[in-house]
Amino acid sequence: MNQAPIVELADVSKRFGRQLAVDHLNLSIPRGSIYGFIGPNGSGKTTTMRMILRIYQPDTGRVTVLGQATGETADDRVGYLPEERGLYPRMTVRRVLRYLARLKGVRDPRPRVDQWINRLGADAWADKRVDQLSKGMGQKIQFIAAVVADPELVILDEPFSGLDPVNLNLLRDAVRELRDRGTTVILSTHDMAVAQDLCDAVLMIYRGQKVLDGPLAEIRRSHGEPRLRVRLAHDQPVPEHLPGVSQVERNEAGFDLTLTEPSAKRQVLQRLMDLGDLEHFEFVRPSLHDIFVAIAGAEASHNPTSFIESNGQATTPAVQ
Amino acid sequence: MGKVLWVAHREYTAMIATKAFLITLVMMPIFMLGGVVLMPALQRIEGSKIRQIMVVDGTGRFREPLEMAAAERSAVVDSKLAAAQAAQDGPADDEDRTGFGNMDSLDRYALTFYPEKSLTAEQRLEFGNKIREGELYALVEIPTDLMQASQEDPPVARFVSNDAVLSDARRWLADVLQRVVRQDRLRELGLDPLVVAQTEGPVPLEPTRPYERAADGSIAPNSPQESMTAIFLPFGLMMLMFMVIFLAAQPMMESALEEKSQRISEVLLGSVSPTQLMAGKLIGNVAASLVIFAIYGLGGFFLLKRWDLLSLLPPSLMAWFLAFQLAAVLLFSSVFLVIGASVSQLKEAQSLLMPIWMMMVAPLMVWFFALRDPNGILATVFSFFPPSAPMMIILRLATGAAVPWWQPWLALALLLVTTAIVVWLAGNIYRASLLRGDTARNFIQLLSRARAA
Repeated sequence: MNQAPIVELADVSKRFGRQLAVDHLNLSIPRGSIYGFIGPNGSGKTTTMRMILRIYQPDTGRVTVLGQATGETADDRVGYLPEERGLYPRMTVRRVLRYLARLKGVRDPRPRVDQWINRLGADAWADKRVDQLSKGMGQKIQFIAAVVADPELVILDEPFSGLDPVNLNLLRDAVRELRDRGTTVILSTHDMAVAQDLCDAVLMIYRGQKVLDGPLAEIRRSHGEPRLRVRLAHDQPVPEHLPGVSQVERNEAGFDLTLTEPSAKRQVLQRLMDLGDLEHFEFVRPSLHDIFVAIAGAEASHNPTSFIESNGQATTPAVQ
Repeated sequence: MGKVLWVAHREYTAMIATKAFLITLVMMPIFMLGGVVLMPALQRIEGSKIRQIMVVDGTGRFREPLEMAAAERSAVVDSKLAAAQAAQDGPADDEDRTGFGNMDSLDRYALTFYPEKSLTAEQRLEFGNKIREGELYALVEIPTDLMQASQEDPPVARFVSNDAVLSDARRWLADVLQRVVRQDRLRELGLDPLVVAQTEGPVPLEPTRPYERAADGSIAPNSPQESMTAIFLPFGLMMLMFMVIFLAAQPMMESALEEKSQRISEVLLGSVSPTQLMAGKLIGNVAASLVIFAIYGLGGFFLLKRWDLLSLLPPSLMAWFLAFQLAAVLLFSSVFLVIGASVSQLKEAQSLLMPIWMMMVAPLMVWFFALRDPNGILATVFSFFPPSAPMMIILRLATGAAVPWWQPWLALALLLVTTAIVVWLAGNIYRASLLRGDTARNFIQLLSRARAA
C-alpha cells in the first residue's frame, strides 16, 4: 500500500477580503485514517476542505491531494459532503444518486446506488422524490451521494449535525466501515465528543491557525494535566491535601484529583487504600475539550462562536 | 466532457419535463394569437341566439327589405353552423362575407313590426323596461322623414338596446337601412341603382412583389403579395423567436436559483468545476430550445402546408432563424443563469431582469415601422444591436424585402462576439457567485464579481 500521505498542505494560506481564513497551514494526512478537523465555527475548517477539493485555490502554499498538486476540480477519487448540502427536490432519490455518481465518473452507477440504499436502510424511499424525505433520511441520502463513487478519500463537513441518535450511530458505523475498507475519511466537527469517539487523528484549528495535530491517543497522552477519578466506600470524603495532588474536586461519581505529575498515581493509590475501602480508582486522560481549553485558553472561552459553549454538555468520560 | 454532457442531460430533462414548461409551451401561442385563435371557439361556446327586435317603421318602407335580410341571415347562420359541425372547423371563414358585412356573432334576428308609425314617450319607457328585463332585445325607431334626402338637419333612426354601442344587430340594421335609403334616393334622382353600383365598383390595385427571373429564364409576373406574407409571416416568425428565447432563458434562471437556494451548488462543485457546470447547463438549455423550435416549427409547417403557403418559407430563412436562435439563446440564457446564481430569491432577480427584458422586447415596440420599411434606419439600427438583432433580422428577412446581403452576416457576427464576451463574463461571475450568500443588487455589483473571480 502506498504510504505517502493522501493529503499534504504545505504553508497554505487563504484570504477573503480582509479576513485571513487559513494562516500558513501545514498538514499531512495519512492514508486509511479518520482524520478530524476540529475547532469552533469560522475557524477555517471548511475553507481548508474546499482547498483540498480545489473549490478554492490557495493564495500561497501547495495543496497536494492523491499525489497531485494542481487541478481545476476535485479528483474523481475524492468524495465530498459539504456542510451546506441539498439535492434536487423534484428528482427521485435513486435518480439523483445515479446522477451524482455519474458526475464522479462512475459508468454504471446502478448496482452501487442500490447497494448503498440498502446498506443504510433507505429502500422504501428510493423511488420517492427528494422533497418528500424526512430530515434524517435526507442526511443519509446526502451521505450516500458522497461515498457512492467508492472514493479513496471522503471529505465530510459536519456530517452528523442535526441527526437523531439512531441515524447518528448508523452514520458513525458507516464511517468506521469506510475506514476499515481502506478509505481515508476527513471529517469536520465542532463537537469534541464526536471527534474523540470516532477519529484516529485530529487537526485542531483556531482562527485559521493550526493549534494541534496528530494521532488522538498521542495528543491526549501528551497534553493536559493527569487526573484520577476515585470513590471511597460510605461516601467517605477525600482529604484536601494529599501528597502529589494539586486539586480535589467533588462530583457525582466521587472525586476528581489533579495530579502534580503522572507518576504520583502510585503514591496516591497507596494513600487512599490506607484511608479506607476504595471502591473506584481510574486514571482519566484529558478530553479533547479540556485540551482545547488548555491551549486556546481564555481567548477561546470568550469567543461567542466557540464550541466551548456549544459543547458544555460534552462530558463523555475519557476513561482508559 | 463526459461530466459536461451529464450536466447537460439533467438540465435538458429537468427543463422539458416540468409541468410549468409544458403549460407555458401551450399557453404562449394562445396568449400571443389569443384573439385570432380563440374567437371562433368562443363564438361556438356563445352559440346562436334568436334576438327579438321591435321595429317602429315610420316610413312603412322597410318591412319587406328587413324581413328578407333577416331570413337571408338566418339561412347563412344555419349553413355556417352545419359546416362547423361537419368539419369541426372555425366558422369564421372568408366566404362568410355577405351583403351585410362580416358577421361577428351567430345570432338570428326575429323582427316584429309595431302597428303604429311612432311611439309616445310612455310607450318608449315601456319598451325600455322590457329591454332591461330581457324580454325584448332591441327597439328600432325609424322616423317618418328618413327617406327625404338633402335636409339641413338629417333625420336620425334610433337603436335602443342594453349593448347598443357594441351590438352586431345595430351594424346589421344600419347596413340594411342605408342600402334601402340609398336605392330610394337614386331612384328619386332618376338613376338606375345598378348603373350607379357599376360606376362605383372598386378599381383593383394588386400588391405585387418585385419581378424575378424564374428558373427557366423567363420573367414571369410575380404572385400577388398577400397580407399573409406581408404581415403575419414576419410577425409570426419574430414572435416565434421571442417565445423560444423566453422559454429557454427563464428556466435557466430558475435552475441556477434552485441550485443555489436548495444548496445543491456545493454538492455539485465537489465533482465538477463551475465552468463545466455552466457549460453543461447551457448545452442542455440550447438543446431544450431546439425542442421548442421543433415543436412550434413543425406546428407552423403543417399549418402553412395545409393552407398551401409553404413556398413563403424558404429554407434559407429557416437557416438564418436557427443560427440567430442558437446565438440568442446562449446570450440570454447565460445572462439569466448568472442572475439566478447571484441572488437568493426570485423577487431579487426582478430588478436585474428588467433592463434585459427591455432590450429583448425592444423590437416588439417598433416592429410595425420595421415591417413597413424593412431597410429603414430603425430596422437597420435594431439589427446591429445584438440583444434585439435576432428578432429584428428575422422580421426583416421574412418580409421578403431585399435586405443587403451583408447585414444578416454582420448582425450575426456582432451577436456571436457579444455572446462570446457575455458567456465568458458570465462564467466568471457564476464562479464567484455560486458559494456566496449575498445578493447582487445591480449590474455594477454583478460585474465587480467577474473581476473578483
